[in-house]
Amino acid sequence: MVVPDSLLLTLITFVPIVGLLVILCIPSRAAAAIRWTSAGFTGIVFVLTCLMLGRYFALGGPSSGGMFYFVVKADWISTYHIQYYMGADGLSVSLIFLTGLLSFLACFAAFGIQKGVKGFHAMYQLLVCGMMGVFCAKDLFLFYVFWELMLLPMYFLIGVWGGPRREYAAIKFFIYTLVGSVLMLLAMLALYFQYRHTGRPFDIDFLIEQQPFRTALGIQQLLFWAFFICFAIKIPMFPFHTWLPDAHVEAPTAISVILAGVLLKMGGYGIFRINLPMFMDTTTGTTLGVSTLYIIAVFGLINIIYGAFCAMAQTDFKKLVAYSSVSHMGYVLLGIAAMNRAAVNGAVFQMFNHGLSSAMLFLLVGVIYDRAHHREIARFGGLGAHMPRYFALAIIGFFSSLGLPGLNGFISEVMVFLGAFTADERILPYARVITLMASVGVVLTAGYILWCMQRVYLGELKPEYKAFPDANAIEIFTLAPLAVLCIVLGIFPNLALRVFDGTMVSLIHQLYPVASGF
Amino acid sequence: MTVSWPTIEWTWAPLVLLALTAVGIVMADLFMRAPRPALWMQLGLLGLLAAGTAVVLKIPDGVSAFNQAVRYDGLGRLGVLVILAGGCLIVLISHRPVRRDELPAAEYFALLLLVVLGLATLSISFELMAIFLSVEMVSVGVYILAGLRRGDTRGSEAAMKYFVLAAFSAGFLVLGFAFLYGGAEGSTLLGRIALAVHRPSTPFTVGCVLAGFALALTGFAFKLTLVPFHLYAADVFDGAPTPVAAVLAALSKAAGLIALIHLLSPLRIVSNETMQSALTQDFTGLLWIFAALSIVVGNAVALVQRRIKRMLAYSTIAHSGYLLIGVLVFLDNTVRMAEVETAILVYLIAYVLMNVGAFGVAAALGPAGEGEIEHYAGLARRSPALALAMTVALLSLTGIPATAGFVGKLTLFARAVEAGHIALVVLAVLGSAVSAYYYLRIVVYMYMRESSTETVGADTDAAPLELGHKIGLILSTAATVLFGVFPQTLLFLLKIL
Repeated sequence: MVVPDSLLLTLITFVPIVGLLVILCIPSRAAAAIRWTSAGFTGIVFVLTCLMLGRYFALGGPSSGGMFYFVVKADWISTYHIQYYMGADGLSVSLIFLTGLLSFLACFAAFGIQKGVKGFHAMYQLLVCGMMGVFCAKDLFLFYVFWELMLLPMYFLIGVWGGPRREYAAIKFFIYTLVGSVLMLLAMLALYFQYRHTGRPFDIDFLIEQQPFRTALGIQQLLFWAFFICFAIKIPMFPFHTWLPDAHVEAPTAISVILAGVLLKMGGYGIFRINLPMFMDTTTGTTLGVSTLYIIAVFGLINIIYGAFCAMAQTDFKKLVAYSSVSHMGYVLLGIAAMNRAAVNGAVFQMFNHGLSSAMLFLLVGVIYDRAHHREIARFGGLGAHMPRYFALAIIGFFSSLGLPGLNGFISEVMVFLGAFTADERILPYARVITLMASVGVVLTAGYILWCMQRVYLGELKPEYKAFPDANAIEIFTLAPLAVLCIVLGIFPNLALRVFDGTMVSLIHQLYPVASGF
Repeated sequence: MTVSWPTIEWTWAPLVLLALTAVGIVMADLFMRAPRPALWMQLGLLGLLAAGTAVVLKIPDGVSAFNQAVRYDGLGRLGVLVILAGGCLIVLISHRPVRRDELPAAEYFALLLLVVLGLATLSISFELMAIFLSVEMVSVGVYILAGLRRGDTRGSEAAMKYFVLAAFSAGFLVLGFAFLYGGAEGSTLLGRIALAVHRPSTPFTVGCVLAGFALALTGFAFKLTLVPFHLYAADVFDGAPTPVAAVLAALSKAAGLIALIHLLSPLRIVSNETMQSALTQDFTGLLWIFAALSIVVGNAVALVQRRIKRMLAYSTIAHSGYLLIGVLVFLDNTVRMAEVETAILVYLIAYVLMNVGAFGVAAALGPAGEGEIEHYAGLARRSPALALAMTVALLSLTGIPATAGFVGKLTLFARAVEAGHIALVVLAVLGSAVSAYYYLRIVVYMYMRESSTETVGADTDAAPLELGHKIGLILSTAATVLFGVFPQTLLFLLKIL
């Protein structure tokens, strides 16, 4: 293609910055022009991510066993050996694609925003840049910078354009994430002083090769958990999840979509990219005498069950969807903990699927909220028959989230369960017990989703909703691609699995020689 | 016939230039019919720039003068430049408050220059008397400047409080110096004190040195607003004219820290066997407590402040705690001296820039903007540029990446981790995370709240912002971002200057 491979990731990350500058040059009163410019730039980014996906296949990425493509490397802050080092393997490629897709679609969902259009879309472009950078970075410091960079626009997007309790939600989100990144920064400093003399202290490849602090496992465990807590806050893992319902509920629809669809994935991505390969001895070993993976699995289990119960108790439509994210991300943790091919692939696929389905759910909630201006589940009813096009899309979104066979969510959940059930007991003690307990989550999920659908879409149509129009063109345009992907990936899951399977298999192969040592 | 030109003693030149400018402004004012604040501002700026140019071009690293009493060592020389540059920025953001509060302009700028002169001398003094005189010069100047708003009760309170406490802490300082003089067997040069520390002759000298350092440290703790000697800070900052508060917050901390490092330099460990190392350990413990208390108390109390300058006062207390970590690293010999000095300078530069930014915006907004935080509601609508400058300064104070504050914290804390002060660094970064709450609260007000009718009315100063004030804010904001995104430029500047 016309774009050189080494330039691709840089373009994907920094085209939004160009977009930001262009938007800043447009006068504020030309709101429509700003919206379309913003959509245009996210569109360019999306096209670039599609291009990248195509190149990835063309270069033989799926069968390469976790190689990094599109690598670009240059000095950034040479005094501290900090590099501008980017690259993408199967895991990154799939999440970059997801980010490109969701940021393009969510941009249209933000067309309804009337207040401060210029500021909103400028911040939005910065957010896209930060998210892309996190998935592209191969230098730990660069990763950290993008991680923080994304925090700021998110803070403003929630805080300025959010709901009634937006200030509280924004600052809570900011401080939770900041505490996590501070822990990451401390761990990075420790790594820096350990490897400064080599001249590559932030190079993720190099650190993975070195396996930091192999001879001082106490320190390695500290570093592992510093990184892990930082990522667990983002996932969000119980007990660090309390920022999520506030942030998701207060954020405008488009931002909820990005939060649920992309930001939560960063937590899982970080664990895969940094925790598991860099600290193998801790990953497959113990912390304070307890198997590390077992701890992760137990928290995953809590997430699944507790999140589902919380979702069931909600009276606010959006909050229900928010808690369903907590529950669904629990599967990712469980899959990570089981550490075999099926489970780990399932975990990544679950991240991807959750990106699709939760984005759909937030968009669906947004459609209703725009019309009704409230989100109380109990006050709805009978909307399904009244808004047939909308209802058709809603069914796909909710059933994908529920894990109905034939849709994508089913595949990833089954893979996680299969993997976890057959996990090596030496690596994950009580794997079967945990899996059996987690499977209760499936029933609970079906419970809260069906009950919610019943209350909102079925039954008698209330008179005050008679005037509601069906989904309009833009709403269908944002929802339909996601719905199509949910169905396609439900029937041909290999389309997605092929992308990251090689990467995951090589990760497990790296970990297993370590694991069999005890 | 040959004319022998007098040779210029360049080491004096910057100091003399500042003094002459200050005196020149006051003298020239006598011949003016109307107050000329803009002219005095430009003259002051000229004096500062000339002094800075003299340092950069004519004074090489390590030169000493006045029989060793003054030495332009690496830290001190660059410290002087930081103070002069900061002085320029503060002169720039002074024009508006001077005009609005109808302060006597000539006196104001002359005193400001003299305070900067005192601070510059303080950071290159290597002799007890010189240190003491510089400290007093600053204190007297600030005392007058703080109370310059005649009839203003807060201002008078600030001046009185600062005067009493400065006198009180000067007592500690001078008593400590007396002991050190005894310990060094009749010398006030820091070099001789170092000898006394390394080879104490009698138990009496050991006692003298110990008491001397302890008392002097207490004196400096007042100047650096370290907890528990911080209580005056909030009142003084709140009452003094805002640019004066900025001098106290940014420049006086910078100079005080450099002087403290010079003063304690005899304690820097050279080998682990001498009795000096035992002495150093005592002081390391003491400094550790000061740092930890300042970080915890500063951040905690800042959370509940309702007035902007009081909040910034507690924030500087927390930042003093962070800076003290730099002193601790300096005393430890595990990290190379040049690296510690670079880290401290980077932090100080960031610190000066972001404080000038924050105080500069407050000064631009007038009495309401210098008061309750509520006034900042909806500022982003009313004046987006000021809101942006404030946001950058606050983010930098928090230590968010891509700002100078982050680079400063990172380099300083990295050295501290290297020297093994892990617990303190953990405390400091957690403190920074907490600080996000009170810094961002102002951002919340500026961007997320609508301005109420009274706040709009309180923007009494409808006149467009003075050019100088704008330049000052643009410079500090741009530098904060530039040094944050490309830290290499800052390191390069430190190398070539």
